[in-house]
Amino acid sequence: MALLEIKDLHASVADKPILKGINLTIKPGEVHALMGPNGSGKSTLSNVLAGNEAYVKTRGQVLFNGVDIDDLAAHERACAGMFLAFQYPVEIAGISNMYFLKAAVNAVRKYQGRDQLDAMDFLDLIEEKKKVVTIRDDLLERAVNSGFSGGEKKRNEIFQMAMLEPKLGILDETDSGLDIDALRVVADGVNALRNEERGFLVITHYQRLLDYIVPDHVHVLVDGQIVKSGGKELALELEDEGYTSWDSE
Amino acid sequence: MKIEDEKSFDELGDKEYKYGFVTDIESDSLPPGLNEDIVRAISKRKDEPEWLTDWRVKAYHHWTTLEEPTWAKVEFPPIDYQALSYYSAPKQKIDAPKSLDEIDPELLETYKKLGIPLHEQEVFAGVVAVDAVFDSVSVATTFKGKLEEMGIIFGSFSDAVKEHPELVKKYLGSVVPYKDNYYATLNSAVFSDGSFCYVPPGVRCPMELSTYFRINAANTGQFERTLLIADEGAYVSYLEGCTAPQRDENQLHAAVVELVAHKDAQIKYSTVQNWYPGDKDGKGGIYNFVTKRGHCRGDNSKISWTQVETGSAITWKYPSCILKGDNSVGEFYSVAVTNNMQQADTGTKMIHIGKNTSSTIISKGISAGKAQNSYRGMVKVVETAENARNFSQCDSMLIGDQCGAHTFPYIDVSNPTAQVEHEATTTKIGEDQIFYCNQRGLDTEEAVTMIVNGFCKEVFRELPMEFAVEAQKLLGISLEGSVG
Amino acid sequence: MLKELRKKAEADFKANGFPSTKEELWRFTDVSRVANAEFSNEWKEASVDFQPLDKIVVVFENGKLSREKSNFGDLPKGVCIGSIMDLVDPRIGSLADAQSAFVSANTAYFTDGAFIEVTDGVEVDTPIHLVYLADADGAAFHMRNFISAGVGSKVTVVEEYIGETEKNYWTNAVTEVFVADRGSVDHYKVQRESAASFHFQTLEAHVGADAVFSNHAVTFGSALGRNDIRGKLTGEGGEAICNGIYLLKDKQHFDTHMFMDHAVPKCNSHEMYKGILDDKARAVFCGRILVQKDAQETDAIQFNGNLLLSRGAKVNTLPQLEIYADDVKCTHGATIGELDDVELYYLQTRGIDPVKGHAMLTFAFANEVLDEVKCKVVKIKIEDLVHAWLEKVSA
Repeated sequence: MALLEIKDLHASVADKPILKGINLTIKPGEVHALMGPNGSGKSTLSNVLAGNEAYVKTRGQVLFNGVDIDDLAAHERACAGMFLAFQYPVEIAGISNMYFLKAAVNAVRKYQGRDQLDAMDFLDLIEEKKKVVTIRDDLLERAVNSGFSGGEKKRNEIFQMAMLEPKLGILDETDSGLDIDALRVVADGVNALRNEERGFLVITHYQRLLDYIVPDHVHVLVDGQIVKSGGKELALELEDEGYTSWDSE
Repeated sequence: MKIEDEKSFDELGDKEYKYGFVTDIESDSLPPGLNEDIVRAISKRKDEPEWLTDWRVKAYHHWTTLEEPTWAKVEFPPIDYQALSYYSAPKQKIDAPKSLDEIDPELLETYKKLGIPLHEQEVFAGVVAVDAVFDSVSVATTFKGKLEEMGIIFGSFSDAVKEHPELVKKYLGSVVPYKDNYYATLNSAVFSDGSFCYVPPGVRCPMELSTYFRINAANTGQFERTLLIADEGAYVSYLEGCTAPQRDENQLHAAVVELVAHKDAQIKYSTVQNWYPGDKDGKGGIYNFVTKRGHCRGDNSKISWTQVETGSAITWKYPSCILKGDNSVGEFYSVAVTNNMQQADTGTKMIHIGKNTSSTIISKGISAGKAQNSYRGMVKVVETAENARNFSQCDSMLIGDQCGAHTFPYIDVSNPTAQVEHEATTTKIGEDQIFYCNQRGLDTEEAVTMIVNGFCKEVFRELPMEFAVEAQKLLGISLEGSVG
Repeated sequence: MLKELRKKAEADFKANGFPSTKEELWRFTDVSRVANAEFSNEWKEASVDFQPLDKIVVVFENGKLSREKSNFGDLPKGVCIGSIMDLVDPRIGSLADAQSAFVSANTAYFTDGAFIEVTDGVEVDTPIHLVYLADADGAAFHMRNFISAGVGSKVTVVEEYIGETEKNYWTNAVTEVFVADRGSVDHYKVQRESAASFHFQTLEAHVGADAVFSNHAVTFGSALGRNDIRGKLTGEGGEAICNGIYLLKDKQHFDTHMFMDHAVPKCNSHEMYKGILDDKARAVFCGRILVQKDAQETDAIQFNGNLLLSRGAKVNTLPQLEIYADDVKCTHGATIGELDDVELYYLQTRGIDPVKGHAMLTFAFANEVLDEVKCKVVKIKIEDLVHAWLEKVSA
């Protein structure tokens, strides 16, 4: 069974149609890259999938693990194993990263019918995941993303992904604003999390990230539609030619 | 900051007020003092209908029951309202002038000195229509004909009373009632002239409308009244400039401005206030006690106030917006500069009543010399104002250690869906910035002007182009001698 | 001397009476309910539960020191704790000098209160817990506290006001704090008076050179109440921290008036106040920072945030800066609003349901203030109280 199946998806933001018929299927273990120019609808897609209420699905169907996600609220989608790494991770003053993660991990575990982690188990899990995605202890103590640098925020997103062990990771322009070292850290984290069951949708404007996270499939999104799909070599073509060939009408 | 040459700064401080000349023309004044007879005499001299006379008289009687407000952070000796003259019109032929040619040439000369080109062909290359209020009466309105073709009424208040009494009667006092406050009530009783503008439904006024106010006669109070109405879907941008001659006595200016924006209408009101501020020891200068208020009466209406206040000995002024229509928008952009002994207590009120109303307040206060500069504002969100939004930013800059900068916002919220944010900062002018400019060859005075202009940029960019340039120049002039 | 002071205060109080809403400082808080009420001063024992924070606890029941319920622990040398009625210091009454009818009434009529003096160089490790128990209907408690920390000394004081539910009484407290040079006073006030009571307190602190005064005021109780918190930085290098939380519901009305006076150069002050309002509660916050003419190199920050949980709740906030020196860094800010939808969404994408997310973010809003609480036992206590309050509100 496909992990994610998007059929003829249309969506609007503030009554303005953005997505105009997307079809995309991701199977377990696959990494798909979605590329496109600014304004093509990349972030809209990630928000519609994650269940942001500001984005309204107007037509089509999205199945996640065979279940229609229309029936699931944002947190239920997260609990079901969908993880969105935000382009602009949200700062939340007053909640420590640790507390936040513990609440999230236990919420997901509860949904999946697993035992709640106590403080000790949770700390063990943190230690285990720190081996996958390195993160400084002081960032875990601080309020969620508050005062983090751009790179630290993105690293925190990947760390959260490691902690929550999703079935599908959606990376929404995770590479934007990162220097090459930060990019590598993020990519290493993602690569460490790749396995036969987990799928990824890597949304990016630039080919650069795909040097480090090598995709199985590449799709080009222009004006709310996937205009071309191919293997990883498609990303390189785009790097050379840009998106101009789709711009002309 | 080290001052290399204190003397030179002192000399700069003595620089004269650029607009401080007295025009020598005969004026027709009423005797000083205020009583019902004077009020009636003003009304009679202006040949006003009975309802207006009655309105003035009611205001006068109410005024006698009021006390001067004392809550503002300004200090001044008591004003003797009986010593003031409440009416001063430049003397002229019995019939009002029909064209500019008939206007007292000396008056025209005054405007030339003020830098206000009154002749039509000169009027800002044809983009501005000017109504000029000299002492108490409106002198001439340019471009009147062209505006009339579009149905726009723009001219002196007195003319409007004669030619469009139904409009005046309908709107006068509908935003600032005659009982509003001490100075507004006084104005309601004795206002002499001012500007009136009505933009009919759907009309976008193609040029900036402008009024220049000037107080000339000694011991006169100037009490003009401006009434501006943008009917449904109309748009108008209005500029107001003020100057006064240099005199040793303090002169009172108590104006009222009322704006009404109907459904989908927009009004942009910009002021550059450069009344005589008094000398550097605080002698003379205008008391600028003004009530300005806009009423966003219809849905989707917008009123935007922009003010650059560099003059006056004392400024007491809170241009406000009542956001009654749903989705209506209120804006207040202000630069207030005080130097030497000047005092300013200025800010705004944003009253959110309708749904989805939003307001923005950007206030920049610059205080130098021994001046006191206060921001005082209110944001009120009443229970009905669903999803009201306000953002306020009030920044103060201090130049020298003898001045003061104060911030007194009042925030009053009774609806849980409101979002109100207020931020204020007070900082010293950056020594490192001045040094940096010095090192690049700018003298300290130039550096200060430049830095202060940068500090005020958010407000200046709201001004129409011609005004923005003038405002920046004025800023430089009023800060002269401030560094130390 | 104190006798004369009290006489004068009584005369002032009788002459001026209670303030009216026509006075700017009392514009948003109508105290006529207090002015029109009649209070008796018959004493009775209090049966109100309390939990001592640590070893040292001084208990006042219905306005009088209870030696049985108190525990003075093993006081280190150089520390004096007792009833203000037994101990004499010429500085009593010197700070809170007739600023309001409430202070005058207190000076004239105070019947008891804590006296704490820590001599130079002495550090007290255990927090001194002052507990004020009230359950006498119709009573007025004029409590007067005096705290003096000597040069280089260190002390933590927690005032906790606990009232029996629905009892009708008036607490009118005044606390004067002197922090000598290089001294440190960490002061807390936890107000959980009866929901029917009136609670007014004026706290006045003078902070010496390189000294630190920190105050946290946490308010849950009283039908009508007000804190007047007045700090004065009197020595260079001094620091004042005044934070607080007010959690109000039903028709509670609580007013916080903060005044921070930078009288000398090189001092810091920061204030963070957070309010959460439910039902038809009403909060007033007025924070005034004064930087006097020669107080150069002042660094002052003030913030007041308010969260309205329901229709009918109302906030008036007035952050004020009054600055007469130029080399200063002063900022203030105020916000009023609901929880942030974006934050809620972010929590949701991490699997946290909206109800839980709402509770987390509400707590987080208050938690920014709790994070500043240095004394661990106090922090745990306040956290528990805040959680309990939030649970009650969301239930």
